[in-house]
Amino acid sequence: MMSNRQFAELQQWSREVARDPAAPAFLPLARWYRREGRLEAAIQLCVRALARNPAHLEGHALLAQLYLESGDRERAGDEWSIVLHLDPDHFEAQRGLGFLWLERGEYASARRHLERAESLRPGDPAVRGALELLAERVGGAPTEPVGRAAPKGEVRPSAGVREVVPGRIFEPLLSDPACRGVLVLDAAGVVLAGGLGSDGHGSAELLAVRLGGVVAEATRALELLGARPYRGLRVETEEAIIQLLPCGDELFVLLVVDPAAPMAASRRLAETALELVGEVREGGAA
Amino acid sequence: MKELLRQTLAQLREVPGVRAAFFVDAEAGLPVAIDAVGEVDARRVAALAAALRGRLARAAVGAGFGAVSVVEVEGGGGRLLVGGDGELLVVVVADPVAATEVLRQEMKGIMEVLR
Repeated sequence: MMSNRQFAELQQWSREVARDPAAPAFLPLARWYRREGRLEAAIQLCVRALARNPAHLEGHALLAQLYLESGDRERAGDEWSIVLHLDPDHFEAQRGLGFLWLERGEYASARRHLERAESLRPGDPAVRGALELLAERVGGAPTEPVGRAAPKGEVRPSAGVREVVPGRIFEPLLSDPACRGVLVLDAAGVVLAGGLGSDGHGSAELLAVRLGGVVAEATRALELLGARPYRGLRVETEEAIIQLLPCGDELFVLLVVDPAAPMAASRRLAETALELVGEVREGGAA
Repeated sequence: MKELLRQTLAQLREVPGVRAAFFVDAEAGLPVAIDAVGEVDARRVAALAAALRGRLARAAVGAGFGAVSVVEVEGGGGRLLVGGDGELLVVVVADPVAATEVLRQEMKGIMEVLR
């Protein structure tokens, strides 16, 4: 039975969220709905709040939990990826993604997240159990500790991308008014290099983490059509044209272009972005 | 209604390089009308296209880029285009050399009519 104080609190939160869906009260209200078993209502509260405040860490973490509890693992994974983008040391997100990758049989990714979770909270029985299961499946003992995850915003050069000053690779493109942002990502959506425009339309980095795994889905569709290999993805939205282009070694260029830009300009930007990555890689190999 | 959908698909198929066009129930991922030449596994393509489009739409909205109108996947041996932001999606399978700019405009026209 709800006390008078609890009832008053609930009323207050509801009023605040009714006035502004992104009001801080959305979080305790969504948690209350969760405790009541009303997962769908809690999800709706979080989704509406995050649409207005996409960098709310606790909101994404709660939404991941809600999706997981409602059986939607894919969306839970998307939300945990965003949480890690905002805070690479978030234990629940590292652990959650570790479990998800383990379920999917993506053992290298599972190991990376689980070992990170283990280093953040040594001795957590669920993480320990998952690492043991992983060791059984792939053979051998859990590997050496992983290094610190890259802090928010830090560029992590890898897989042939030469270490460069963050954001500088694509400087020639970012001065083009049609270009809103260009990043180099790995298949999981981790940003390795690049820079963003600053016109206030969307976040290419948030988009990047949400795109983790999308190339695998697109490739499955192409395989079904007998149309492999994957050559690129183009998404037209209200605010931008988004392109995801392969640039070798399971790396991708994410290019965000003004929707009013002519097709030829969009194509030219894509070609230049790939050329710039090619130059950096050649420089790295030299 | 079915006849109208079929006529619309036939119109899309007139664009050079189009192998198949179908309408898909966005939520169920099932084809509701099909116009295709040769063998295309419409049910599986519809399911994958709807799932991919749904995922990209969530990603775009979540990152502040707004609603998705058209998604295009380009492969070495062909292209998959998915349009629509309501209950019905328009899905087109085309050759690599198909005039995709024309196709996108056609698809946007159809989506306007469907609204």
